[in-house]
Amino acid sequence: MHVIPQSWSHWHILVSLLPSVGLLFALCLYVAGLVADKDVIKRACLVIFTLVALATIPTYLSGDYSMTALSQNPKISEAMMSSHFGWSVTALVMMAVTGLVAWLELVRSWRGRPSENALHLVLGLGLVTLALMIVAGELGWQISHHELRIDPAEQKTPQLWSHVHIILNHFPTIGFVIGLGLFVVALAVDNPVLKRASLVLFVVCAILIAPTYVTGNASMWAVTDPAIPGISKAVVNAHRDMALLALFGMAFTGVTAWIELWRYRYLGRYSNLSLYLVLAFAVVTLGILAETGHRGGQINHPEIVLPTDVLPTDPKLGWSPAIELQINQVIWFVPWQTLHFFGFSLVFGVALATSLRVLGFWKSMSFPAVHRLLPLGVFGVVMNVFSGMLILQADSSRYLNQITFVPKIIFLTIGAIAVLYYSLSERLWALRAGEEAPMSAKWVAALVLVSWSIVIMGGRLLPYV
Amino acid sequence: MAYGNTAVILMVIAVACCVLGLTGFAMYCLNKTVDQSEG
Repeated sequence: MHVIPQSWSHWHILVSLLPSVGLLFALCLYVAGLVADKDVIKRACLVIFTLVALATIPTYLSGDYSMTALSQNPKISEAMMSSHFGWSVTALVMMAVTGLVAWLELVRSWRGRPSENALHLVLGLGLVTLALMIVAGELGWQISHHELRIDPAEQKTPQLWSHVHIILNHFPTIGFVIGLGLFVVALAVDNPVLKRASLVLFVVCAILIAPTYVTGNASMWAVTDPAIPGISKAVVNAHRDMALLALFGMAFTGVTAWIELWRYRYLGRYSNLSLYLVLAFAVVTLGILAETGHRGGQINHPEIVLPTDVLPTDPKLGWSPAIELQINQVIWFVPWQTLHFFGFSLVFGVALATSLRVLGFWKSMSFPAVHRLLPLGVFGVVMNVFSGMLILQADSSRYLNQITFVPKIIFLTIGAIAVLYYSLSERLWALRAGEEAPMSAKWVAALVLVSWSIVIMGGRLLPYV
Repeated sequence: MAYGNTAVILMVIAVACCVLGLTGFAMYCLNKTVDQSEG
């Protein structure tokens, strides 16, 4: 398979994501485990920290060999590589220390409970490592992404989109890999807490794929209009085609995972059939993600392109250009736009009803009764992600450069993740008729309402501002 | 290619019916599983 790296640079691009983006996901899961006081999550995260620390060895070696190879390239700045190297070594050493402390605590507490002090020490070390990784990563992107340094005055679409996409695209992919690994372990040991954690990871990654796809679309304009030497629109389109499939795959996996989280609330157990369906979707999606990432890498990393690779040359070929042509016809555009409005009605209606109950309205209903409405809202989100992506293709350059588009996408992500809280909070689930919701839940409800209001307003203003 | 109003209206109805119909069916199935567990 050609996605298997054949050069040190290729290895470095792939493996260096584990101690950076992988660490971020591990830390988020770890904090959730500490807050919910779930020993199994804490232990799973200690294992992940240890594995991520082990990944520092291939990261260092591949980086060192890549430097030797890239130093022959006159387009690559030696000063930038040295700066990246210095910060990276510091970050990798800190990661190794974090992993070592995590492993020692894992061994020490094998038959008992992990010590609070040691867990907090791991958290502190992890946060310092993450800060160092952010600096090292940022210096790393700059080495081969020359487009980030183009004068903004020469650009129609800001390179900020490319910058965000380069970073953001790794979140759903690496998060998905961690989620799948955790899910397989959860199925093997039949642990409901681990199953839940991995299902949540799948849902979060599915939510993150929407801003990733949108920023990718904007990046296409940023790097092809005006054209940048060395970047081919045909190669970009090949990546976009696969990204569209990745969007579908992630959506199927995320929605199936979310439905299982929702059903678990009422049934008190997971359906094996549904869990294996999630696994099947996840495995197929992982393959699509790998190919999407590989095609994305080929856009701006000539060092990973093999002499035997045949890259596309015709920018008009592929599904994405075909969709752009088709959706510009009224007979295709109007039905999907109509569906987009139906979707928003469902999302906002359900978000309003559930959030108002949490905020103190309709106390005669228990929260579990209102929670039953949520699938309608989630189906509304799915409708809108698909219809929205199609509508976007009609005139993506114009939409993406409108001032209200960025807040729309940011709050869509925040609103969707906030709604996930309704299916995860134990305190909300225990809310019977006549009872008041906790204050923290009310803040989340307010965030849900504000977020979805901004999403609707941002979308509606697109053609006018 | 230009399309007549009737074609556009029929397309809107067809897409809305298909997608909303699927959503309704999915909701029906989900509610049924939960109702059975409660009943």
